Amino acid sequence: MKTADVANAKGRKGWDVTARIVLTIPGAYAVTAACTMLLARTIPASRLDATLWATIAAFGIYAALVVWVFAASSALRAGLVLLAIGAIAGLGAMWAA
Amino acid sequence: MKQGFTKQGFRQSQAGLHTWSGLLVGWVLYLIFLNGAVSYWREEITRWAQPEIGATRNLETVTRGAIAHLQATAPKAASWQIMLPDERASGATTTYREKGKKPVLRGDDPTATLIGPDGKPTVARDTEGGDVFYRLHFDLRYMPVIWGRWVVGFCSMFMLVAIVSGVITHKKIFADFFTFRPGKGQRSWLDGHNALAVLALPFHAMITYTGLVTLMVIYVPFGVTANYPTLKAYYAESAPRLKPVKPTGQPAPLTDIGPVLATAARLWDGGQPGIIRIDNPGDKAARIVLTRRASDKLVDGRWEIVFDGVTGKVRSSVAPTSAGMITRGGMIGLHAGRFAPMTLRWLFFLSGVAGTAMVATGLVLWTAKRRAKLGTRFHLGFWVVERLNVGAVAGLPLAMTGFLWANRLLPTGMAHRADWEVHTMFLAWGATLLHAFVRPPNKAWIEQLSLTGVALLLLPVFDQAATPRGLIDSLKAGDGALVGMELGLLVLGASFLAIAWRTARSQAKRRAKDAALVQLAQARG
Repeated sequence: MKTADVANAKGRKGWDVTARIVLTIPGAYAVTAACTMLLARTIPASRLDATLWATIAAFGIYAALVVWVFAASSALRAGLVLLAIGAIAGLGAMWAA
Repeated sequence: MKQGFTKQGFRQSQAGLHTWSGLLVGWVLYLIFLNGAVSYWREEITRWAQPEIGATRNLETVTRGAIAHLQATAPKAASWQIMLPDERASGATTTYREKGKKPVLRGDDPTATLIGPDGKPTVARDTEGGDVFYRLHFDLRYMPVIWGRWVVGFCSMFMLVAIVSGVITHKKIFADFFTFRPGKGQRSWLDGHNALAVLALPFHAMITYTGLVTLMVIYVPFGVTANYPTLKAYYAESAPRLKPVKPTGQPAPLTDIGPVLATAARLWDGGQPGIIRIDNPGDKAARIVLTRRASDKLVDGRWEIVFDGVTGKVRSSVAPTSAGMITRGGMIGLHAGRFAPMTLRWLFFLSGVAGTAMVATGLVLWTAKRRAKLGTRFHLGFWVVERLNVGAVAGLPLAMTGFLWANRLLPTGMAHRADWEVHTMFLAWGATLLHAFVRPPNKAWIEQLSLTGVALLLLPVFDQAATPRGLIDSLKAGDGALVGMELGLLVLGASFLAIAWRTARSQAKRRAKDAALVQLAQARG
């Protein structure tokens, strides 16, 4: 491998990690928010119970999303899937209101 | 499985996540774990910090004394409040609110009076006692509480991520349990880190998740916003408040507290009140509100009985009934361990110590791994991390010991004494950081660890000589909590000296090995 290629690969990897961190901290958090809202409105229980159970579940959802963001084959793929989950959960939560 | 970002698969992708998320939040997690573990002895530390007062043996004596004191000092107040101790704590605190004034929610209440075990008002040195470590555990210090809670929440969330990614990274989780190869540098640190993590894994997972749940509505308010127009509307439903009652202006004597306490114990299956509030004392519309203490039930939540203050009859009562509130309360109760009897309390504490050691070994492992790679080359990031590790891992316990010494040595009449105990702790911590940056790390480790050990060992000596409640006095008085504190300080001090000694020995071995290698190379070349 030529020096330029190594530098490129390093730059790509740095960009990839940065992208995943952005996807994790604001990205996965926003998706967690949408999922929590959906659960809070759809769990078949009283308003209070559904709210509490959805909020308790939120930390598990977030942890799973972060692990998955770092396991995905590319940052782009991770971003697209997060976007899809967020959109479905968000629309679902709006529909369930 | 598709390839992860290291191009080496799922497990390796998690190794990178584990290492970097761990380092990012490691120092704060160490503080959270250490202070959390210590907080299982919050009441005992407070008792130790106020040697002026002894153990409370009879709750009714204290309650009657507190009411008599309020009757004498604030007969016309709008409301009285008595904070009662549980079996582990000592002394009750009374406060009152004048008519037309708002209650003091945070900070020092100027009406506060300490009631001793004999039911009489008493004075003890101004200190936060065990509360200082308890607050530091989730509020941090010197910043708005809400900032502290967000920092702690962020770090705890990544603790949860580190637990999940750590379990994925370690392929031989069962074998790790039985593996320890001492005296092999980096390998030993990794074995130790794995053993501590795996040994108490159920505890680590439980404590991290339930810790996040304690403040969950701050961190994830979206469930509430999805279902309630305002946060106030949510609280009105989850924790409804008692409506205030207006005084009638007709005087009437307060009912005897004895039967009230007996009724509460019957309704709560032997449970005791932690807070007694008396609204409109001396009026016909007087009301006694008993809130159940946290230590005799697992589920954290509001158990309340309202009594008529004149007739002593039960007017209403509440207890958590919503399944969601009980889930949340159960998780919070499990986290705080207020219900835990002694055996379980020790288990909680030792698991917390294992968690603290897990974070500490993880931090040391990070440097051990990179030192092996770097050799003698200088690397700024490594240089800083190595020193911060000393100031955090060895410096924080030294600073906390500094707090205990400040509690013993600051003059009792000093203004803002309780604050200065805390300032002393942080000044000491600053000094340990400075020391870590001016001394070579291998020396700084040994010096700080041994100073902590000596400072801890000398505390019981000081207590025996200069306070009325040294080890021998407490043994004679059969005061288990204080005997435990003194013995605990001795064991901790000895442990710190042992760690310092081990560190010195392994450093000497490494130097001898290096010297032998140099000799060998010279002989050959």
